[in-house]
Amino acid sequence: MARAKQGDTAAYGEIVSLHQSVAARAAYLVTGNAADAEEVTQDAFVKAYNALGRFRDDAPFRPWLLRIVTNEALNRLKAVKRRPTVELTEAADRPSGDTALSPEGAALAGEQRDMVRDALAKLRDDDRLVISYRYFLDLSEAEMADALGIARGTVKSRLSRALERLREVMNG
Amino acid sequence: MADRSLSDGELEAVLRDVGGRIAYPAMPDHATRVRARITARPVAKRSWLYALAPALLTLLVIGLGAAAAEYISLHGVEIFRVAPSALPTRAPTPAPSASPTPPLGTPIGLADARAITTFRVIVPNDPLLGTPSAIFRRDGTSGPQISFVYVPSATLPASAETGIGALVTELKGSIEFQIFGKLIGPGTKLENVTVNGQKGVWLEGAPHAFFVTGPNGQFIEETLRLATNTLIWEDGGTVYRIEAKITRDQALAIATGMR
Repeated sequence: MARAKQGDTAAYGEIVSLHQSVAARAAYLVTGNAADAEEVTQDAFVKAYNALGRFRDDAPFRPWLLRIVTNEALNRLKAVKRRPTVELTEAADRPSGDTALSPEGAALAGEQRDMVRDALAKLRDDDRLVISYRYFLDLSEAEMADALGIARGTVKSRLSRALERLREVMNG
Repeated sequence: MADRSLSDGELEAVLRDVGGRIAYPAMPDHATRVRARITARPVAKRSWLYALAPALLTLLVIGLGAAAAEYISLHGVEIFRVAPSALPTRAPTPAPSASPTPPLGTPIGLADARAITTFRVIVPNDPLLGTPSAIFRRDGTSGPQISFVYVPSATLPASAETGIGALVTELKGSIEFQIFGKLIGPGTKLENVTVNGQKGVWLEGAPHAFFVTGPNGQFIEETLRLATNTLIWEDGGTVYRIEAKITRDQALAIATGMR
């Protein structure tokens, strides 16, 4: 990081390589569009580089970067006036984790996933965002606070309310 | 049929399972592309003042006054929408000299800024911006213009055009004194908004240029710069303007909280 802050672009390239996966996933979860996510990710890394002078050396880079990614992605979404429609369908080549389950158990797990996916699609964008960051990106509450630019206590309450509304939708 | 009454733990497990199965789109290796974009802009040597230097900023005004095809009028401000063919094509001039004239004027303290102006100088009070990095005074035909400059931060992206995070400008504005014009191209969205009950305009999208003209359309100042998203409004004979790569709602929140 110190080298990157001195303008060493190779060093910053290593940082990009290290964090590009989570950045791209976050961008995709917000924008719901592959092309937008790609642009947002790249723009966010450039912006982060330009703002490195303000980055505290003792702070974790990932949530700081994700905050830039999130802002960039939300701005993009607003600019294109499109509601995000993240495809939550399962990756075709992903090995099923249900093999250890009985056929009935696997079917039930599949139904539960479908039910949750359907409910997520009906949630408000901000509720879906906070759930996505917590459970899809597996961010801690502290990381979410940094990434979303809100207090930790607010993360907890927003997540709790989002899950509550998810349940309401699921229960029809 | 799945049981809808999942426990908290079960719901969280299903959510993680759903997340683990998302078919994320394949992404290119961003490292090379990002490096290509930042190679010419080493962090340690970058200066936002240089980015704002007038050599770059004077190039867009050529021939625009007569090209205005559509405009809306705000007290003291006119915003023109021009046809794409009217946009200037002249290439940017070379990089500024080592001692560029600050286009925002000379540094000044807040107390002095308030002392020298006849309008009410108000300051953003929003955590998104934080404390201004510098305040400038620039004397124009309608009196002093005060600018608050904010450097980029994690939450305040640098403008690709100016390299700064945000610029808040205040000046006495009246249609009788001067027209504070702003050119926008087809890639810029214009939206009427209200700030504390006062009429304003939100501009968002492609970079657009500010310039100052006299009542007859002649250019009377060279305070031109490329702007990012912009909120501009007039209150009590003063024109306020916030330029930053932020959303409309963020800009409105900043504007509403200015004291």
